[in-house]
Amino acid sequence: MEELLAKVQIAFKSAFDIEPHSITIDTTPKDIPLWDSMGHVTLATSLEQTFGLNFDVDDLMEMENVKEICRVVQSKLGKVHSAQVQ
Amino acid sequence: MAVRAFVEDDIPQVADLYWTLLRRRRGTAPPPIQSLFTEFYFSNYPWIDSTLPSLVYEAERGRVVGFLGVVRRNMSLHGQPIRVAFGGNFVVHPEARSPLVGLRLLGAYMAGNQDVSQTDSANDISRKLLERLGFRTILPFSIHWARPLRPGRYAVYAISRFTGPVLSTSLRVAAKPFCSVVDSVATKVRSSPFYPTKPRLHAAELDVETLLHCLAEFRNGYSLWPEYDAHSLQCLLAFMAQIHARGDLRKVVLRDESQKILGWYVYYVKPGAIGEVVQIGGARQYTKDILDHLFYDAWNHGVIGLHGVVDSRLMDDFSEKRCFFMCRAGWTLAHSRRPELIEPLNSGDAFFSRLDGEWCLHF
Repeated sequence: MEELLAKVQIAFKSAFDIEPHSITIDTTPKDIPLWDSMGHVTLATSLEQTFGLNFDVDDLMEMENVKEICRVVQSKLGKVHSAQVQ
Repeated sequence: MAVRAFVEDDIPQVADLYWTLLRRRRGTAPPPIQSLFTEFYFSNYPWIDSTLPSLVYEAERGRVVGFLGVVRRNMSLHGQPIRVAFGGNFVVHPEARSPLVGLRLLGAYMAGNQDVSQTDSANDISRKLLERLGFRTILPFSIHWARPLRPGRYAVYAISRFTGPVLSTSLRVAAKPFCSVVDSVATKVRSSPFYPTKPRLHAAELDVETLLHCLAEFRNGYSLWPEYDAHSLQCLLAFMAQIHARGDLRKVVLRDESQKILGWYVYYVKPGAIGEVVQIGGARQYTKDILDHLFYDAWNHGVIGLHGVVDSRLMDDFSEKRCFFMCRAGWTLAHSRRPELIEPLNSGDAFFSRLDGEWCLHF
């Protein structure tokens, strides 16, 4: 989980130009002024680049905070891994 | 906290969002703005459909923090009716502090039972959001044309768009004598590109019945077109005429010597300002004559330049008449669960203008 959070922090830095360590598992949009609707789209793009994933609309809607982002990313990475194993 | 249908009781809160965030004014929305919301969204206008409701995002304690206005426009694809839901007046309170308010409003709008979701006036930010959600930018209907009529004052207008309001006013006052000379020379010398060509077509006031006839006759050759009847067109034009921010609505039909209709145009006249063109139509071979007439008419009414959205099939005629083109805020985007429905828009195979979306319903 720590490794995943570290990569999420990098995505946040890329999207909002903020100190990676300021992002914790409890961070919410209230903590980051630039994390509005447009910021969310920018963040999603940054996460996609960082993890090599593609998010659909439902994924975007679920990523309400850092905890949810980690859950969605982990779930998608799991699916990718399963597909590769098969 | 959830997205739900917009109801009349929401009007004070929604009008305030509109007033402070879209109109960038202070305080609460004045009563006339609230009345306009009531009239626009809750009277019997043909573009209001209770099965395609406008949406609000309600946060804690009934606080409305987001709004997306939805209007229905009827279109036909190869003669088959399709329902198009245009989204507009999209606003989210910055203190909502959830990036998902806007996305959830848009998601609920897209999930409606319309055939096509569309906007014809998205700004750059909305465009990025909508594209991320699966909308496609419709380039053939996102190309704007501009035609200076009084080049001196048009140049000052263009420059002042990049300055603040105080500097803009100072610039206009300071440049006025110079502009008068430039405009006078540019429009009086016959060899000047801005010399207003005296039109050879005959003009008359365009009434609803004639416009209906024109829309039916000159849509030939297109796969997708808007559907109107006398009532819906009358309501639309009456509503547009009562919104004076863009100027006075002017509707002109053009005929030849034998009184045969060759074309028409609809635009907003505002002396000393830009005239926004709503629709130009007519016989393809007379496009340049129609443009000549429009330019002459607007020049006679004191307009400094005209702006509009070009039908991509007519770009060569517009270009020949010294219009220039740009893609700027005012993007047309569309989404459908049936991609074949937006293909005619993408390929420019649609008889579609500012009259047929939500641009003309801005207030």
